[in-house]
This record gives sequence, structure tokens and C-alpha cells, in this order.
Amino acid sequence: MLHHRKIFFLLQFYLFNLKVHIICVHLSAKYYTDFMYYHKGRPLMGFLTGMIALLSFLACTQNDKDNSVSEQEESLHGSISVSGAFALYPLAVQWGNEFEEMHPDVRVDISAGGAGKGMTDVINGMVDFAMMSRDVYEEEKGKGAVDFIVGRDAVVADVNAANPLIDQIRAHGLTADDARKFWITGEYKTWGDFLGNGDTHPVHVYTRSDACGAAQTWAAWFNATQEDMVGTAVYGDPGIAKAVQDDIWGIGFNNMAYAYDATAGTPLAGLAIPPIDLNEDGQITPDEDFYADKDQMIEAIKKNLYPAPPCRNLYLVSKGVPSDTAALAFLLYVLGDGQQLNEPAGYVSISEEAVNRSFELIGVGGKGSGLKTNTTGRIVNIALGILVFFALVIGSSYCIPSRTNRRVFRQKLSEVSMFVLVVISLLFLFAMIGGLFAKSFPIFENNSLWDLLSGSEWKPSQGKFGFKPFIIGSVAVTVLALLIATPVALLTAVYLTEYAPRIVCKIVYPALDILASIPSVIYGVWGVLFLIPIWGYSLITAAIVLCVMVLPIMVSLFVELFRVVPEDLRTASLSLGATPWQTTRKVVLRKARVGLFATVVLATSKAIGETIAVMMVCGSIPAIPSSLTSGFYTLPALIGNNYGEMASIPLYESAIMFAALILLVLVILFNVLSRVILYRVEKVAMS
Amino acid sequence: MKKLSVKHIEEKVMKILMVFCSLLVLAFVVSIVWTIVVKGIKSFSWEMITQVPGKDWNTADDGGFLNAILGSLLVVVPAMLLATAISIPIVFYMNLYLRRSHPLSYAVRLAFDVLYGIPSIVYGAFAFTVMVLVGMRASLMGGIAVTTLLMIPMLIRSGDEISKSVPDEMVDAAYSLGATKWETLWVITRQVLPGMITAVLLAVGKAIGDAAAVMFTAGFSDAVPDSLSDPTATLPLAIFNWIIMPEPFPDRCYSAALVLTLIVLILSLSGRWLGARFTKHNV
Repeated sequence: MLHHRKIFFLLQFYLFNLKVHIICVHLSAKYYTDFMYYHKGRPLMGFLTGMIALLSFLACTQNDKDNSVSEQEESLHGSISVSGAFALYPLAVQWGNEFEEMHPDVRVDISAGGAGKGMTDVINGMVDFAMMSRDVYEEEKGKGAVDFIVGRDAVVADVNAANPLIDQIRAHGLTADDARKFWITGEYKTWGDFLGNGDTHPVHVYTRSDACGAAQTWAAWFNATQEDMVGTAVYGDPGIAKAVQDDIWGIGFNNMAYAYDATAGTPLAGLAIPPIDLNEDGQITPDEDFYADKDQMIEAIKKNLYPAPPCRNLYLVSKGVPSDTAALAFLLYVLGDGQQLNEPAGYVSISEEAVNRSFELIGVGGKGSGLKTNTTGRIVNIALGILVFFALVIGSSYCIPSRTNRRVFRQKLSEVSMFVLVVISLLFLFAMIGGLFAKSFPIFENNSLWDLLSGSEWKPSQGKFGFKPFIIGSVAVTVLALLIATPVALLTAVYLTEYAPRIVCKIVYPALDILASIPSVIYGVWGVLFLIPIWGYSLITAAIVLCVMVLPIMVSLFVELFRVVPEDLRTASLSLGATPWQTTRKVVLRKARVGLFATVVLATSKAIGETIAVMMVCGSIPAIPSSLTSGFYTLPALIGNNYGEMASIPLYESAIMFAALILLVLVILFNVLSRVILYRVEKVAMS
Repeated sequence: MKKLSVKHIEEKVMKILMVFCSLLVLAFVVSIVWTIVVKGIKSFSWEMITQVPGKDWNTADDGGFLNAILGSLLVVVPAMLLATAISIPIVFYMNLYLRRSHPLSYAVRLAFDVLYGIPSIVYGAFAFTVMVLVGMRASLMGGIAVTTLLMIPMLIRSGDEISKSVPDEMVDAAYSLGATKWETLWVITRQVLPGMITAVLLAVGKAIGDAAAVMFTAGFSDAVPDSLSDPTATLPLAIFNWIIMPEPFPDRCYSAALVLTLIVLILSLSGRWLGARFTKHNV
């Protein structure tokens, strides 16, 4: 081997500069080819060489990147993520936009999912800041939450502007006691109960389904908590505004930001805001009536005219004092120049003492306490590394000169890697079950399995986790859906196989295909647009939506089953004088009955697991449904609505995981049952 | 003579019921498609699918939801590639390397049947737990990972069905010429390819419309992701979020629903068409 080329080969590992590396590679090229020729027939050497070359290449490019970055220390760069309360969202978006304009290399991502979700995200290290519209609890502070006051606003009640009694409502006003009778005890069933004028129109009370500051604050006004509130639960602050806009007898509550129009400053179209009766005298005087537009409200809040819950501070919460330069800069901006955006947006800006308190916290804080570093980048690199590893291993097969050995090597390699993949995938199933089980373990410490499954009260903040409403809700909606779907599917399938002319089949089969491929969200949208105006958020709406979702698979499976029945049986029956329907009923259905049963079981398992469509139409009421037109809750909807909002309440996470475990076990049971039956049917049909 | 016995009356009654049921099914399909198309077209504008949200996205018509469309594509396409790369070897291992009746093959088939039936929300919940454990944030990478996990059982199930259609004679002929199992694999690929393409396109159609899986893992954002660790908006999640928000969001929700339905329909139809077209040359 040529020694001067060997020196260049070795140099490339030490100089860590990309340009020098490439030059060294070029100059030592002959060394490479000699090296490979010397080691031909040894795929391992080929693999190792390729690996080393690639790694050193990567190392050089990394170092280059680092060098260039540290030279540009002046401009702020990075990304900031914020999540949490709907209350602060509109203002936070404006802050984010301004901040991005000031620092173009910084990316600010803001998402609203409710205060509970924000707190959970920030405690789990998933976001930099949580937007909170309620005070931080002691347990949350114990987990490292540090709160900074960034604004102040209020939660207001709202009713539909087209309510015929609107003038009386406005004149009467709302006291804390009235609110309690609407949202906690449910004593006010009609508008007459509230106004005292004998009116018999019903009151439709709305509340929030996601763990949020608005509901908590509103409930605090009449000494209760969000969990104690009754009414149809809707997701998100804008959701409750929309629900009241669409329901002439509705009453709900909203953050100021959503009750008032953002640009005009007057209450949102279709909403009217009943004043709070401050002196509880049963009527509203002009000095109690400051709800005409946002500016008046802000003045009233500043003068402390509005009661203190539902008026509250808004916070940005981080885990420990932010140590990331971009996040800290954002916080300082919000506490300083950002406050100028508050009032135009409809929020009160913070007082001097609040600012001073925040600066104290920042000064004292120092290092962020245990903020989880964002390892996403590292994981991406690991994943890419694994892919490269495989590529190299496969490439190294080209180093073997003998054709036979090469083929044998590839065969063995493929067999081993496929086997590993299969084993990993088997383990994945067990990992899922085991993981869910492990995560739901804590809840068994205080409650027995029977208590959990049969308890009817769902009050997580008091430690009461009764899953019965959810299990019954799931079962009820599934049974109802299948009760409608099975006969319809059966009759349709019989018609398609026995009676229908070709042209009908040509239309119906593609229609069924289309129906089968439509995503679940679209069914939800259809349910919201089409069925909710008829029956509202109820059991029957969800059952119809589910029924339509399982129809295509049931019809196609039934058709398959009927096709398997031998034609001779049908002909024989007809020749004995039976009508086609009698033939179907007594011969075909009987022959296929095991398969029919298995199909129904399969459809049940699909329906039980359906999440999105049901979430959109169920009403999210954690109680056993009292009638076909009342709201309810299912296991998947529980997981979907509340996942990610659990850090503040102990055992909540474990309860949700337990719900997922129940769901998993149910679905597995049904699935295995139906597959075993179908497998037996196939076996019999083939033999 | 007119026959009026019970069985003939029963026949007529049942026939009417059956036609009614079939019409009911058709009525549902028409109702759904009609609602989506009418509402979607009413609020549709070219800006919606060609622009990302602007600064005033939350209060006025400023930009569109291109970020959601691109986000969905960015999540689903890598997931499809990964899922195909993982499931095809497994299918071949189950059916070619091991006999179809081999106990390990049977166990794997059962495991994936079970995984196929697990609702996507459980996948999402599990993936979220793992992500928190490992320190990942809701990001594009998380979305891709969950979608891959979601697609693998679908692909394996369809792959299994398709590999049943490979005639034993073809495999035996390859062996008799001295091919290794790895090489026979390439031989039967031509036979299996159309079916696999259909299966992949159908699985992509299902995955692109799935909101529950990406709800906790991909996050949501008003911008197109720059890197794998940025959160990303996806179409089904956008529809789910926007339908409950005040104006101007519901209109966008309907347009997005229209776009999503069109994408899924195109995928399903082209999947079946491609499969039918290439099966012409099969054994």
C-alpha cells in the first residue's frame, strides 16, 4: 500500500473540517480501493469501513454547523411552544406574531386545548409555557410550576340574543345563587323558575367538557368546582359560544374574549350577556350595567366592579424559571411591551406589583428545574441512524466475490432480519397491553376493580372514579346502533344477492365502497350538521351515526357469506315450491347463521372503539343516560376529551389509562371471538 | 288465478322491506356526500388550498389551510414508506419462509388481527405515554410513528389475503430451479404487486383520515413544519377542531372536509383501479 495515501486517509478523521475531509478522501482514494480489494470476501470489513467513512463524514458536517451557529449569537433563534387556556389564546397569538416580527429566527407555536391540557403539557416538558386562566394549584407548584401574571379578564354568562325573554333577563340580572341553581342544583328547569313569571320554556344549560380555567373560575363564583356542574358539556370556549348561539333557550358562560366580537367589541352576534346583579336586589341599575362593549367591561374590571371570581388573573406558567434564551426573552417581552396589546384585545393589563413579583421570580429562579430537554431531535437522529445501518449492512453484501456465497449471505441476512421484525412486532402487542396495565396500576391502590367498574360517580378531584356511566354509555350506543344496522344490512344484503337486477348492484356496491372509505371525522361533521338539529347531542344521534358507519362492512360481509352458500341448496328449495324469501329465510340464513353472528360481533367491536364521530355528537355528560335524547359519554370519548389534561389531579392519568385498558380488553375479546368463529366457518366451507 | 296464500303475501312484504332498506343505505350515502359537497363548495376558495394561515387567521379571512394539507401528507407519506418496509417482510416471512400453518405464523396472524381491531385512540394514548417517557414533544416525528404503527396491521392483513392467491406451483417452480427463498420472493412480487398497491393505497386512505391517532402525538400548528421536531397540523384534526369554533372557522371546516373526502375517495378509487388493471397479467 502507498504510504503517503495512508496518511491522508488517517488525517481525515482528525481535522474535523468538511473541506479538508473531502480533500483527504480524494487523495486517499487509491488507498480505499486497495483496502477493499485486500479485504474482499469479508462483508464485515466492508460494513465497518462504510460505517466509519459515513460517521466521520457526519461528524465533520456536524462540526461545521456548530461553528457557523456560534458565530451568529446576536440573533435570537429557536422555537417556543405555548399551549393551554382558550381565554388567553387570542392575546397570546398577537404576542406571538409581534415577537416573531421582532425576532424573525424564532418560531412561536400556540395552541389552545384548555387550561388543564396546558398545565399537563408544561409539567411533562412538552411545551415551554402554559396559558392558564385559573390559579395554579399547590400540587402543580410542587411539580415545579412557576406562574407569571400576564393579564386579567373575566368569565361572563351568555344567553341567546333571540330569546323572547331577553329584556326581562337583562332587567333581572344574575346572582351567584341564581347561577348555582342553574349549574349545580338544576333547580331552574324553566325560564319561569328563574324570572318568576311562570314561563314554561325549558332552560338548556351548557358547560365545558375539557378541564378548563373558565369553568373552574365560573364555578368558584358560587363556591363549587367544574366537576359539580351539570349541563351539556361542549368542548372548548368557542364551542360553548356556538352552542348558545344555536340554541334559543340556552345559557352558558364564556371568557370575555369569546363572548365579545374581536373586532367590533360588542357581544358576539347572536349572544346577549345577562348582567350580574351585584347588590342582589333583583334588578339591574345603570351602574351595574356595563356589558355593552368590551371597553366598558375592562373599565369595570379595573375598578373592581365585577366580582373576583369570575374575574381572574391570566398566567403564563413554566416549569421552573425559563432558562432557554428565546423563552425567557418572550416572557420578558410579554411582561413589558406586550402589555400594550392587552387592552385593545379586550384584556386588562397587569399592575405594577404583578410585574415586580414576576421579575423577582425570574431573578431568584436561576436554572429551570428539571425541564425535560426536547429529545425529539435526538430520536430523529437515532431513527435515521438505524436506517443507515441497515443500508450499510445490505450494501456490505456486495463485498463478497463468490456468487454462491453472496446469495447464501443474502438469504441468511433476510431470514434473520425478517425474524427479528416478526418478534419485535409480536412484542409490540404485549408492550401495548403491558404498558397500559402498568400505567393504570396506581388507581388500584385505593379502589378495588369492582368499585371502579360499578361506581356511578365521576368526580376525579374528589377521588371518585366510577366508570359505570362510561361503560353503560358505550354499551347502550353500540347496542342501539346494531339494533338498527343489523336488520337493514341483512335485508340489503339479501336483496343484493337474491333479487336485485345487475344495474342496482352496480350502483349500490360502489356506494358502499364510498361509505366504507369515508373517514370518521366526516361522519361526525355530517352528524353535527344533519342530526344534531333534530335530536341534539344525544344517544339516538350517536347511535344513528354509528349505525351508518358499520353498515358498509356488515353488508359486504353478509354478501360474502350468502355467496358461499351453495346454489344447489337454493335450487332444491325453490323446486320444492318455496318462495325466494322462504328459501332465504329457512335455507340460506340458517346455513350462514354462524357467520352472521360473527359479523355482528365484529361490527360491535368496531362500534365500541369508535372515537371521533361519537365525541362530536355525544354531549360528554358523565352520567348514565336517562333517555334516548339525553347526552351521554363513552369510554373512547372520555379518553379523547381528557387525555393530556391530567397533571393537576392525582390518579387522573391512571384512571384514563384504565379506561383505555377496559376498552382494549373489550375490543380484543370481541375481535378474537369473531375471528375464531369466522375461521371455523371458512374451514367448514373449504372442506 | 291470483295467489293469495300467506307465503306470497310474506314474499311481497319482505321484498318491499328489502327495497326500502337498500334505498335507506343509498339515502345515507347520498345524504353524507351531498352535505359535504354542498357545504364545502359553498365556502370553497382557491386560497384555502394554496395558502398557509396568515397573521389574522383567527379573526378574518387571511390565508388558507395549506398547512393542514401539507402536514397530513408529510405525516402519511413517510409513514406509508416505513409501514410498507416493515410489513412486507413480515408478510413474506409468514407465508413464504414459514409455511402458512406454522405455529409462529399463526401466532403472528392472530396478534396482528388483534392489533387491527384496536381503536386508533388507544394507539394514540399509548404513543403519547411513550413519548412523554422518552421526552419527545408532540411533533411530526410522533405523528409519523403513530401512523406507521396504525398502518402496519392493515397492510399485514391485506398482504396475508393477497399471498393466499399466489399459486403453490409458482413457488415450487422457483425452488426447483435452485432459487433461494429470498430470490423466490422477487419472483412472486410481480404476482402480488397489484394487490399490495391496492392495499397500500387503501391503508393510506384510512390513515390520512384518522384524527384520534394524531390528536396527542402530532400537535397542531398554524405553519408548515420545518423539521421533524415541529408540531404539525393535520386535515382531520383541523376539521375536528374547527367545527366547534366561531366564524370564520366552520366554513373552513366544511371546505377542509370536502378536500379530505376528495383525497380519500381518489386514493380508494385509484387503488382499486390500479389493482384491477395490473391483475390482468397475473397467473
